[in-house]
Amino acid sequence: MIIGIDTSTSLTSVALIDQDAQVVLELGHEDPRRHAEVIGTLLAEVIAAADSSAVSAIACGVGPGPYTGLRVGIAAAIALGAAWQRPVHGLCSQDALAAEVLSARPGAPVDVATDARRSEAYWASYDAGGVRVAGPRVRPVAELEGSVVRGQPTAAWVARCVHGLVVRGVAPLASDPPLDVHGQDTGATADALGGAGLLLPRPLYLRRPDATVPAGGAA
Amino acid sequence: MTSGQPIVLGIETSCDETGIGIVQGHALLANEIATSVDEHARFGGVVPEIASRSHLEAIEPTLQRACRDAGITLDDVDAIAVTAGPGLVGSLIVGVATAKALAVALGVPIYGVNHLASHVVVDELQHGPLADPTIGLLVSGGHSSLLLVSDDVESIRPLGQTLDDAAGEAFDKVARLLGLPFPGGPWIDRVAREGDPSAIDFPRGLNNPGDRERYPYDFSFSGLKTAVARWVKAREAAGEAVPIADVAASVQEAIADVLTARTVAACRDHGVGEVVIGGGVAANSRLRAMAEARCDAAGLTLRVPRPDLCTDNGAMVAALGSRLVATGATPSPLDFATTSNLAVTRRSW
Ligand SMILES: [Zn+2]
Repeated sequence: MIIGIDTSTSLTSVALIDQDAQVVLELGHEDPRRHAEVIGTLLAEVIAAADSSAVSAIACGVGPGPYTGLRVGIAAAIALGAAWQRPVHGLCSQDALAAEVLSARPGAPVDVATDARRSEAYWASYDAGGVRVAGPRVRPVAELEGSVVRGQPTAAWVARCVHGLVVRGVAPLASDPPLDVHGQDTGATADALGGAGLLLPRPLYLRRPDATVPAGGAA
Repeated sequence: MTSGQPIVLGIETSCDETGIGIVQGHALLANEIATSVDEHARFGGVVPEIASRSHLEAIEPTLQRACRDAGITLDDVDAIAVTAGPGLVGSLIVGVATAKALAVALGVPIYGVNHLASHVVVDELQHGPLADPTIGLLVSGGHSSLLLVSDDVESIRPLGQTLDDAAGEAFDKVARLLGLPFPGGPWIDRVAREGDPSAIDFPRGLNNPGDRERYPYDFSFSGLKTAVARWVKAREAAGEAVPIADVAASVQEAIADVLTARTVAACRDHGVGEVVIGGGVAANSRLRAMAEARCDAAGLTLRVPRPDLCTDNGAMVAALGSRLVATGATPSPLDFATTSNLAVTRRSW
């Protein structure tokens, strides 16, 4: 069994799949600001449905996605892995969305996009075999063509994708892709990532942090 | 692990320190910290996004180090405590998400706790149970508060706080004016040793009779920063060298004077005999010396935890969690929220 988590969009999504990649339970809560609040309850319900000794791995979407929410799912996945001493696999969240689209509509390449807020989207492009050939990148929504499938990755899709990669014996990427140094996404992360599947449980930020110091200081 | 009192794991990620502490009763088993302070130094202050990223990178290695130090595995943990606020929301969230997932995975209760209360309660790890009541003076880069802490730590009464800059922030800003690195507190302390604390009479803030009546236990440090800026500028305009050591010593004197005077007044007014000082600024040598002298003169017992327990750390969170477990407090619901401006009167949510 694999527990999946994705918080790369306004959806906090947690799922449990069995050894045949069938969904045992999937729960979600839609709210762009409450990932950290709802993650505990959702996890508790999913874990209650699982035999923890039968959970072989944790799968988490590592974005790209809005950072604050994204970190919630990844932190939770890391904690589960630590508590149960199980491997934690990261997956580019758009990969999960593309895999779902391709399973429903096989045989043709697909571009997918998820919400990046502020009229931008996280976009990636896949060949007919589901291999990522471009992206993920941040792009203005206005630039996306009508054929781009926009959606929300779910934890079950992430878990199923990771399950497929593990079954095929794909080796996990052992180090972080580098960030570009100019504060803009020039595709350096995506290029470094190539079509890689299993990643570390680290966010795909694509951007250096905005380095502005708040006026009020911190606690 | 031997049987005995429950083992509580505390997680602190409210600012730029990723802290994991493990406590059993009043015994400290581990206190591991990863800091991102160096990454913030070149910006002259804590950058929230850098802090959040660092927490997520540091949390698992810090957790593993703490367990190794304590000689336990996560299976031995009986309860999880985590800072729910106040602090930087993006940073708090990393700790809270980790804590919630650990709690459900291990099947143990979780306590979302107040960061300020844990700064006071941490002293129990070093000096035993707190007196009831105790006055807590919390001074750091983020807070300057006077608290009345009763035996029931869930009912903390805030007596006063800074109306503008925190004491540590005042040190940082003055250090910047004097060309000293961030964080400024330790540098001011070091440079001040060569200076004359009575060289310049900097303003104490809220010190005229009207303000004293209206804000008996509050602080204000923004006027001090302005006064230092004006003083330094006047020197430079006159083509004179700025006596950095004298400025540092005089600033430190002004800050320590105001903090200790109001703490002693709070004890006198509320009939309290014990004071705990917490927060990073508690490491300031002049503040400690002046607090000792004034508490001595007023017949007060002063408790200052050792430096690694004063700055933000996981042990303080575990210490408060341990106390909540011991007193049979109700655990937090799993959906409790992080609160950037969490009132000190509230334990959490
Ligand atoms: Zn603090």
